[in-house]
Amino acid sequence: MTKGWFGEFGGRYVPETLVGVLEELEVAYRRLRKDREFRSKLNYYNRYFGGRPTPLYFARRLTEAAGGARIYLKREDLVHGGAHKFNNVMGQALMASMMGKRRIIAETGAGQHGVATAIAGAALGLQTEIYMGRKDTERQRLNLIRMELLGASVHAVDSGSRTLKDAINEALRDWVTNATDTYYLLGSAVGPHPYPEIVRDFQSIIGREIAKQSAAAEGRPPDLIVACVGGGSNAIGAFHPFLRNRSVALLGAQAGGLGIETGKHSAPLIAGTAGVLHGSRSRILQDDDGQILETSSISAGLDYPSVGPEHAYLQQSGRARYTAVTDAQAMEAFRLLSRLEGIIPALESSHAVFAAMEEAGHMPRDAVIVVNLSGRGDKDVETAASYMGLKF
Amino acid sequence: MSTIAEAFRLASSEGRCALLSYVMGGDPDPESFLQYASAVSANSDILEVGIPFSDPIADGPTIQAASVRALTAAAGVRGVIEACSSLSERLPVVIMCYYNTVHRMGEREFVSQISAAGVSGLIVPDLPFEEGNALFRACRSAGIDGILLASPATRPVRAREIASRTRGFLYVVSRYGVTGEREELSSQVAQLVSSYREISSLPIAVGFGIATPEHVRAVASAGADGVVVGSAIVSRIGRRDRPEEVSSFVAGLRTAARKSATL
Repeated sequence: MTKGWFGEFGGRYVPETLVGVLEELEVAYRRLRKDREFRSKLNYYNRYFGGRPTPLYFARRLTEAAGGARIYLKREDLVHGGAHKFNNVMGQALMASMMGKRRIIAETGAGQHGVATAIAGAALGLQTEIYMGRKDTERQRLNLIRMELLGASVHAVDSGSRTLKDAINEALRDWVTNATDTYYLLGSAVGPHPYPEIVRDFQSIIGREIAKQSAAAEGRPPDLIVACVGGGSNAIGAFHPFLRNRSVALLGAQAGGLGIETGKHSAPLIAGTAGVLHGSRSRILQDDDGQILETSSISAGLDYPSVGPEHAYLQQSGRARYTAVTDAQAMEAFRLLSRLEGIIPALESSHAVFAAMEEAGHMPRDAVIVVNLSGRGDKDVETAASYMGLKF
Repeated sequence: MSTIAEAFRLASSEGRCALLSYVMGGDPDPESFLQYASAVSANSDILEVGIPFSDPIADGPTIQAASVRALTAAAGVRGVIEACSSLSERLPVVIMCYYNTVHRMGEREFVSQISAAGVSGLIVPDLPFEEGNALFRACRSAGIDGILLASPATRPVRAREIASRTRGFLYVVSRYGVTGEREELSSQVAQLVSSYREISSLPIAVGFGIATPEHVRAVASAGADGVVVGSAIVSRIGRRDRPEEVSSFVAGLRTAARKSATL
């Protein structure tokens, strides 16, 4: 494939000022990924700071409830910071540090990427600034507070839909202005080349661990891996090491919001068309004039009108399937996992749990499903309680 | 000679730096837009017309706000292009839009639409030349200048590539950052202009952050052939100054664009 492209998706659609910076980033990445010092530092931080490897946990009661395939949970919710975001952030923050950048900026939706960035920024002594849509600062207040406590400054973004999309716009504008001394620590497998590749590679530790752990637990790879897909970084990390092994089916759960038919959703792979947003060509939600549509999801982390270009490619090539899970279905899975397994999942990850339970019911009892439980749900307890009508 | 080249030649023959004025299509609403655009055109050499986009990453707050106004007033892509028809009879019109706008309509269809509206040039600020080959080819066949931007961050090898590929003129971005007015003009401008002068035979226009007659004078004396003013005009339209007032502001800019050395 052409460099920076996944079939007809990907590319580098950015203002001229960023072309040179992206080239510098690409060169640094090619060098550092093979650099012994970099690799040993990253391994060190992953293990002793991040808590890797994360367990692959057999969800016995969830399996019984679904009534079919054996469901395992890849416990990314146990990574430091509470989500898979750490994997990518630690890698990129180390890169920033070794590239001599003293300031890192990042966007965040649910706040998990922002928190992970604040954590890495503190650990490495980097000035950290986070862009977050105003709407998200309100619905993910816990993470807003965590970022500030960790020493990052958070800029609430008031433009557009005041969510993740607009936080990325603002971060890109900051980067164009401060490109010489600032590293843009993009949080998902989206954006211009080489970000989709860098983020995927750092997240692929998830899939590599799944391969080993599944072999240990079941003597073979899983039959199906399920992950939620907003930008799609946890999913591509879980999927990528298995792309060549076609006996492993791959399923991505997008945010169906109030239902695809209502138009209020965040599922460009289900209801989108080809377009260019945030530096790459992918499937996006847009109107006839190419204006980006407002999205809707109960989970801030999936509330995004585009998707990583590699997912668009995997869908087109048929290697992965994608489905939409509504707010209501995600909430049902959120409740079930909390009650049946004693694990409160992030609302994002709840989409994957729901999709996995649906699949499990149609699969034989000796089949094996791995759900990437990408994050924990502490940040979502107020949203969930209010959705369920609970009063305290 | 393209109409754009002709406009630069004419300005130069009058001892001026050409004034390229930017307005957002359909801003503040499609009807008033035509009045403002006419008023601005009267004192400009080239008119840049933006197509409003929901996610303008290369633009600062002023032009973002203009996009929002235009979209709120239901300015559509085809409507903005059609509005260029009457303007392009008076002066060369350059369309400035984000790539998704072109992509959505289809590159060929987009080029054929703007060509039918008499548009002379196209600037796509989020389209580096690597990704723009097909579009710029289509522009060439339609006789439209595909204008490329170069920035202070552009390295020499790439700068030469851009200088050799751009058509009509070379758009030199004065500084790191997004569009928008600044108090001070970047001190790099003279150096940027002279370094691009060595590698480009086309006119050089400087843009981003040029807001006042003083800035325009500085760009003219830095040796540029053209100066682009956007946010300073757009903010006046945004606060609904009367078209005559906007026109006289633009006239002041054009006066400042006279190259004193040649007077």
